[in-house]
Amino acid sequence: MNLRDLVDTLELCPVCLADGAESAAVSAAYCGDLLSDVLAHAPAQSVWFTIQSHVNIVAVAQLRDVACVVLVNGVAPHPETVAKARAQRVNVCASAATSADLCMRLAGKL
Amino acid sequence: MAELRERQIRLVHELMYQIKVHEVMTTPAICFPSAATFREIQRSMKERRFTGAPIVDGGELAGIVSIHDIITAFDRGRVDEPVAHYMTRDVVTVPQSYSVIAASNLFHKYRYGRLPAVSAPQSRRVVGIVTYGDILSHLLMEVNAIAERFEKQEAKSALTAAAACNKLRFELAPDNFDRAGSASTTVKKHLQAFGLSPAILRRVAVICYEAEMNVIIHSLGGYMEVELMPDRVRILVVDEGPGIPDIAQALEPGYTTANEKIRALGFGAGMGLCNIKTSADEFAIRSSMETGTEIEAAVMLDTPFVGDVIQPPRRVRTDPAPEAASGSAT
Repeated sequence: MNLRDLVDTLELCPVCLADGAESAAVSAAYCGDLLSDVLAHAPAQSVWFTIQSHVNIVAVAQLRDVACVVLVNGVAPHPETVAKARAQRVNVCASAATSADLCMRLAGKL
Repeated sequence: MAELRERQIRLVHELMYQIKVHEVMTTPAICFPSAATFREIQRSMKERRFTGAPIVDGGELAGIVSIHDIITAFDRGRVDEPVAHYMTRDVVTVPQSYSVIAASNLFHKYRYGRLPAVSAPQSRRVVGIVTYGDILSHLLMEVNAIAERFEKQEAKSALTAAAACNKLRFELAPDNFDRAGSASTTVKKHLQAFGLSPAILRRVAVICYEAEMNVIIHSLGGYMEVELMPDRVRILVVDEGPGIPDIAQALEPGYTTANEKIRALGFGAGMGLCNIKTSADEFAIRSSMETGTEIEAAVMLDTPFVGDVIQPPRRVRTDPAPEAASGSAT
């Protein structure tokens, strides 16, 4: 599915989306809050669910070609995170739901 | 295209605040005493090609006469009379020290063709004349100059990048989480231009990021060098200490010396060195308590570059402009 579909299906709140991001492909999902773990295992074009909201998630997302970072559990991103995400063209969304809820809703759709 | 136009409009707007009236005005202004007749002024207008003139008596602005007033004078048969009784006395002026945006606003408000520029706010001493055309042509010159400077800079930085293109060096400051990961993303973007496969890029990215974070989190500072060689990407990371007492232990997955605060940020999973080792084709680590730690890793390329010189692939241009010399490495 593409990012637009993902945002609609999971009812995500877009925080920052790069130009043309809506049509970006999302083909996998990854849950992780330990950055080294995400850096080692997150698939490219994945949606990354995490509670980490600090600026370093942007570099990790960029380095792994993550399609979108989704902050879960109602965690709000720090302003520096948003600024850096905008500058690096990394897509960030947020949701009040847990990563488990969101993944269950995604089951079979990716 | 729309974005470019928007940027250009913003630049022009900025320039209008920066450029001052005295920079664009014509000086000295052609002025006449109020005793001059319409015919005299009209003759001057024809010879010297202007369409309006301030009327100045004893060094002070007394009024203004435009070609419109001249035509009216001809129409009403007053052409040989002094302008004193018929000139417009309420003259809108602009101080020479104001930015042209002030003049532009006045032009917009009053729709006059020209504004006398005065020496200072509240002064009646005319120092020049400014028209909207003056503002526009000056803006055009400025925008041109800026565009040319920008193009020269672009060419220069492309040349510098091409000259040093095979080796990148980054100084890594300890504890600097704001810049954390920036070296790795720069490396990735830089190597992307050489057409390396996404898989290779990702492995290099992991190695750079983990090594960079280790220096930032655990050391007193250091540097990272990334070199593109014909058959591999070589990464060297050196820090100033404190050194790793037991390297075998450090290499164990899950072993970390990171503190509570670091771990709360999601770092300190104890996977850094393992990740580097897994992502690299060649990996070596040396450490001493006196000098610090050194990590050298290599990722072999799928298709080695042929020849002595590694060239980034030619960038495809959509317009038919000729290729710049800056595209090749030296």
